[in-house]
Amino acid sequence: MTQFFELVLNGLSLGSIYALIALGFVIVFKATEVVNFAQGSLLVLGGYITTQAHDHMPFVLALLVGVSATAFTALVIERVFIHNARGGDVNALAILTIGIDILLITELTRRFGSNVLTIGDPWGNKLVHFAGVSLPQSRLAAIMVAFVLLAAFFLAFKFSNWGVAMRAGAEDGEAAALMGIRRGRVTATAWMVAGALAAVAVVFLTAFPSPGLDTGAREIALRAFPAAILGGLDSTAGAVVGGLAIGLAESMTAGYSVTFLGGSLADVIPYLVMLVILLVRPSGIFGTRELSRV
Amino acid sequence: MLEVTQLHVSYGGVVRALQGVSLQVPDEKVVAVLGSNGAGKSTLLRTVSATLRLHRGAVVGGGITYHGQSLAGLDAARTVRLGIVQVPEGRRIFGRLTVEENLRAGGLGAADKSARAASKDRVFDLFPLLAERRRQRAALLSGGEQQMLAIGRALMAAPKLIILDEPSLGLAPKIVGQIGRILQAINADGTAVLLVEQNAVMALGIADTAYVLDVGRVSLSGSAKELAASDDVRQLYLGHAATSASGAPAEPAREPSRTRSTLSRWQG
Repeated sequence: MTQFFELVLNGLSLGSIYALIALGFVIVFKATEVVNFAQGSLLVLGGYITTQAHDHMPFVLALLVGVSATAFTALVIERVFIHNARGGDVNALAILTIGIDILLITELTRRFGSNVLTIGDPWGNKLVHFAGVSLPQSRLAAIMVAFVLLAAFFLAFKFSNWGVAMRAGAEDGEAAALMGIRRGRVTATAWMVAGALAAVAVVFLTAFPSPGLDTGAREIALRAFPAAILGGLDSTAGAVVGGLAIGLAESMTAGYSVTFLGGSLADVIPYLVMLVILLVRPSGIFGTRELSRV
Repeated sequence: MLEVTQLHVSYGGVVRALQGVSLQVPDEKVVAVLGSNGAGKSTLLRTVSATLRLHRGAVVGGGITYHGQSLAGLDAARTVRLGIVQVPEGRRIFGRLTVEENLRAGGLGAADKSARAASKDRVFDLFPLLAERRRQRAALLSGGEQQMLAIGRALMAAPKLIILDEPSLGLAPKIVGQIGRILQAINADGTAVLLVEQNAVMALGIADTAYVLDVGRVSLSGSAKELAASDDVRQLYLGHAATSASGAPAEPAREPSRTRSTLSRWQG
């Protein structure tokens, strides 16, 4: 039973990290209708910048540098490639982000070499014990940080002018333009938020008990992709639910060492869960099915 | 206040949608533009509100000035901040947002942010029903209510010129009459109205001047009263078929017939 609780907590922790990354996919998709395949390498970039900055300054400042730099990179990608091509085919733009992803990850691989970098988070390998359950501090921190960030995001999305503009623009871009909403600002901030979330997520993705940061983090980050899809690619709440579901499924299958296809089921469970859910609900759990009354 | 001069617009460099259209909207007046499908009405409005580019259209000649200032090269947001706000065809309300959020979205483009509260009071004054349903998702409103919301949303930006693209589209005659009265009330507050319609009865009923657009050109213009009395408009838009074979003038009817008005045109 103790193991079960540990696995649940681990799963929630992993899931909340996936939720942050998945939310990045969803925000970008809602704002620009583009699926951003470069999210994984942006995440690695964020981690890399944080580790480099950490050589010169305390962790919190380094993280701030990493987050800002990643948000800025996302902004540059949006301005140069996405905004300039607005009105173009969104599928072509999605494939364009694959190109950016490959370029970015190739350069990062060159810089990493065979090194595994430590992100330098303050939690180290300390454990928290309570009620017979022990959990790495970093995992607990992941849950708390993700909760705060998600709450802040949802409050802004629901109540701020930015949120209203974002939702209006996502629903009907031309009508929003006719209301004088500056679409370009909305899409730019959406990309920046997605980049920033990825740069935060990478900290917890590579903190103890993970071995550290290398370019493999990109593949782990891409598991947030089925999370976003199964929640519904245009649903922010779906990103959170999808992230948690994937995190729990992965933690459970890894914890009980279930084997599948000659390997660990945990490696493929995100995609299996996605397939099963899409069979039942083709547009994801919270994905939009047209709601209208004439 | 708004002056369109010899406007030529084409799509993709091929299709000429407007070929030398000129018209004026004077301060605090109601101007109607009539025309059937494909006459260029929507193109005209897209040009005014700077959304032509979203449809791959471009101005190839002439221009539009607002209080003497050229609108060429302005984006949609700038146009709204100048006080020109459009209610799009088919309402295009944000269905997943609540009524109140729709109004808030409309106020985001306002030049004077401090006037938003006053704008909202005015909208709820004009449309008490929107105040009642403020927390409801807009998609759940009826067609007529959605049109009210679309007009209310545009008013949130405190326009000096409000442009409506076929507000009567798909609505019951009773609701159309209501919308006509609301537009008169909006105009009475000093807002100029540019109304593009296929429903000539309502449009000519409230307009001061009117233009008839036909395949990209202005074919008729004049005061709304004159146009309502002209044979061409009666035949084409008011549904009084003249004895077509002989071409003899139609009997002057006492009042425009509402029941027969534009029904045959919907099949389009």
